Amino acid sequence: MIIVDSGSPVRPFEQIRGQLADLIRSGSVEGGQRLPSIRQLAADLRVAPGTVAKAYAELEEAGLITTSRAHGTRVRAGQTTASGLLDAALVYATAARSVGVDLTEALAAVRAQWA
Amino acid sequence: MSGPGVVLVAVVGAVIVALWAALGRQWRLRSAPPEVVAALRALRGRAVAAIALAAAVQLGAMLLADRNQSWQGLSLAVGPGLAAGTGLLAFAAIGATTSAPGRYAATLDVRTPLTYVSTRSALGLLVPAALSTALLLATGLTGSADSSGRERAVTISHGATSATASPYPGWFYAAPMLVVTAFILLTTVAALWRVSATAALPASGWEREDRRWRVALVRVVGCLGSAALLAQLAGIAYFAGSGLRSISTASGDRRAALLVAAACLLVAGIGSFVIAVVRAAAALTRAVRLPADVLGAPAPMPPSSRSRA
Repeated sequence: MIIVDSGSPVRPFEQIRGQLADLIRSGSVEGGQRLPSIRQLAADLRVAPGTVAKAYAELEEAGLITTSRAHGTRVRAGQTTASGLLDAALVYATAARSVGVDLTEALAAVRAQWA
Repeated sequence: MSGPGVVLVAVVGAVIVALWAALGRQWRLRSAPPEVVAALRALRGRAVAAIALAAAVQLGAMLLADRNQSWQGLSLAVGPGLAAGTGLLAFAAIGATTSAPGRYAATLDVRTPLTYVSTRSALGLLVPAALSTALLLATGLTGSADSSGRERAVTISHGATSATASPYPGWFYAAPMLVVTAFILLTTVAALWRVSATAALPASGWEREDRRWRVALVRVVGCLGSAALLAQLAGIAYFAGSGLRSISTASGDRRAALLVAAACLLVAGIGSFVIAVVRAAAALTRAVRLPADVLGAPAPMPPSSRSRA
């Protein structure tokens, strides 16, 4: 499920790109799975087709999806993040929520520790 | 009562029955966001408008037939197909209205024109189309010219005797009806494309209802298309059977075979007409009931009715 909020400070194409990338890396969308056409996704999300096209283009550039006339847009196989990392992320996300921290603050904490 | 009159009475009767069935029951809509209810009502409006346009075109074809005797009923022959095809084309052409800025969700399920078509719906279209095409080719090849030179008669000769009967679905009718058959199928595909291409319901968490309205509208499209194909088949079969029955007197030893063929065609024609009317009524019923079928459930019987039962 992809959700686009026109009231969000994040641009619509980035919302689409980010959510799709997260779904692919988490394994929620499997390798080889066909994605909706640009027109279908644009109609459902009430955005311009160019917005979805831009998100798909960036995902293809990042190596997460492939696009062809014959097979449409498909998730590239082998893009799922290692299960151990996903499990660790789940533990951290659960802990962050329990102390009332939002996503932005949680990511900021990761960046701080990463450095 | 003339043939067109019978058709008109049957169609009006079917419309009355369909509307009574659709509106006679009290529906209680589950609590749904106003934008979801509005979207479903807009879809219903689109479907009902398409059916109304089809009915108007059919009525126009019947009026043309009545006022232009020289057309030899050609507008009646192609009327049902042109009517349904026009309605389906209008349905396919009406785009979605723009939505207010907000929060929208989309599943990652891929939708195609065939996604919501069941095997039964597909057969309901393809079988009458195939039968209609086969019969048109057969009657076209066996037809002969009438006194005006139009291929709308059938002639048989046996020894020194011959017999000719008209009207008969020779090429004068068969050729345009073959084109109309293709028109019905193409516009059905266009309408199915519109069902798959229309945006999802404007609220997250309503994916099941989103699928339900698409399935419901595919059934409306299927009913309308198959009604037209069956009405066309009814006309071809009936007039082919009627023509064969008329010429059987001069067919010599082939008389029994011709009479059997004629009887089968006449029964098939009448049966196809009845099913066509039922399918047309079903299309209208399903279209009118769309929001209730997707969201609602029938209301319980009032206490006074339960005590009488």
